[in-house]
Amino acid sequence: MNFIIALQPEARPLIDRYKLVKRNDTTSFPIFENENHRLIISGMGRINAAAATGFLLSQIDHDSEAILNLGIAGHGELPINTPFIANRVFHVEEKNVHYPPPVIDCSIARSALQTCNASEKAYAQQIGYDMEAHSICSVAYKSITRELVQIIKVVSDNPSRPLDSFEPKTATDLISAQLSLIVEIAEHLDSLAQSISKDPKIFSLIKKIKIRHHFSATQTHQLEKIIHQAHILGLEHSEIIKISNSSTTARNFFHDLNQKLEPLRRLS
Amino acid sequence: MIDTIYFEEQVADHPRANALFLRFPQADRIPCTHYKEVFNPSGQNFRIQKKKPALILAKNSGKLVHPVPATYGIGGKENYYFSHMLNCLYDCRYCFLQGMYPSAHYLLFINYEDFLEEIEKVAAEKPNQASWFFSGYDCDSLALEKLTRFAQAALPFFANHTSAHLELRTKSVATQILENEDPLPNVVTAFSFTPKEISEVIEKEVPSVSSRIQAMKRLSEKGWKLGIRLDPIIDCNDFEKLYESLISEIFANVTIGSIHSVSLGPFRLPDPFFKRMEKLYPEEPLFASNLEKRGRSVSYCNEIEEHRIRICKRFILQHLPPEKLFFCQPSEE
Repeated sequence: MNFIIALQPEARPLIDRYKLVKRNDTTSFPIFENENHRLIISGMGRINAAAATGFLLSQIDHDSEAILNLGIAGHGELPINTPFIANRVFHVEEKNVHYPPPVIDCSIARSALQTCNASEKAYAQQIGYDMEAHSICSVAYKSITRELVQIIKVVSDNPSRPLDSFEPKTATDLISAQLSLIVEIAEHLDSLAQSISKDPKIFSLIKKIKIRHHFSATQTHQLEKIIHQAHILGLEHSEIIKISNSSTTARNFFHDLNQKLEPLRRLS
Repeated sequence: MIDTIYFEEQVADHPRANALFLRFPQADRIPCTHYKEVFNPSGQNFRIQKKKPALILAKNSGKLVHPVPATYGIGGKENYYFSHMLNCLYDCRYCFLQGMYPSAHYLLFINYEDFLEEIEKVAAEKPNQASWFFSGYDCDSLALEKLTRFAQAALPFFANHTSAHLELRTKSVATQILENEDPLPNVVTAFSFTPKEISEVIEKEVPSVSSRIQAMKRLSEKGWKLGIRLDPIIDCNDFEKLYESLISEIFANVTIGSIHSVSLGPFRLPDPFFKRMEKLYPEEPLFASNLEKRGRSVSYCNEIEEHRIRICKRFILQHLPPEKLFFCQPSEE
């Protein structure tokens, strides 16, 4: 599970909650992590957000990890301290409008969000205003399944209480107040990500078989496919290993495994 | 049922959009300029979206009625399809929609009058010949009728345009709209089936086979013409026994006179669709069946396919004259 957050005071409640430890090996953007969570501090604004997202993507192994952009935001209508999910994210200078798919099933406000070049003072529409989300979506969508990229903001200012200056303690307090909801959403996203991720046992099995035989590039694809099928059709992994050990070549292995699978290939 | 409604700004004030907003007052309403902004982007996950699809309301201003491949049809010479809706309430693992569309959201084109106008024009080109219009290519024709009210809008049109014939293809038992109306001789409601044992495994959220047969029976008793679609035919253990049992059960409940047609179609998918579906559901045993790539399609190997169709044909012809039996073959091998 990954978090992108503009400023450290906004991130502090999550760093404490998950006991995240700062990594020492990166200089570009501060990264805090534990075994299951990674949090990157992007800095404010679109360019920082895009660069940090790109950097984060370089740290992610596959496309089934979720990213949550969290932070404070202005809003033209919602009261201070209200958390909301962005359902439409746009920037006036950008052609693409992003629609984060509605996958979070919990009681939380939904709102459009305009990413601005500077903090919004006029609150012209009854929508949210931030400085990062559009860039994060634009970059993250290139690598990550759209459902797994979500934007959660907590209202810090609105027409009745406009933003004068950034108060670090206020930002920390606003996020802290919504921490249980944020954790619930993060867990939900993480379980969605796991529901579409590939079974690591299959990969380790493929790795074992590849040590035993030489497979060309085409055969490697065939190997991945047939091991997947053998798994689906209920053949024990130990049985697959046995066939691999008794085969003299990759070709033999395919032949023997196919023979074993043949009677299992009809639906029952 | 619907938590999110995207709508094109141009249909925001359309009476059908307003009716749906009223029906789902709690739904999050999100405007968009064009439905493609929401529906078309790559990188969406059909499987995740299928758990809770949103509704997209749009106007289709392109070509609305399309010719059907020559190898498909149920007896008519002029065959067309139209899609007032993309995607389906049900979740059948063999369905090509999951491989064709990037999104699982229900996309509803609410300009029904434009569809009917184009159907009228196409039918008028051959006024002395029956033209068939198939509505269930990209959605189930009746499953979301309570929401779409499409059949409600289309039936009066077909009552007044008798050279235009409509096929409503469905797995739904929501047939009240038809049961409450007088039957029309140019409308066929075609029910799709796989045997009960297969349906329970690979047709998620679909009403049971017996409840669908009961829906057919009700329509038959009301005088509506019916179709039976064994398409796709799914290979399985005890194939003969399961398909014989299915076919016998259908014909035991529905009078032969109300059957307009039966069609048989082999399991086949365009190769790119199959690859996407395999990737979406890597744990699905159906995709590990004896399938092979033939031309641009993935299907059972020839021997299996021909044998299974032959078996179904034999069972059907025990109940029905051959002129009512049709075969849907892939148009490109």
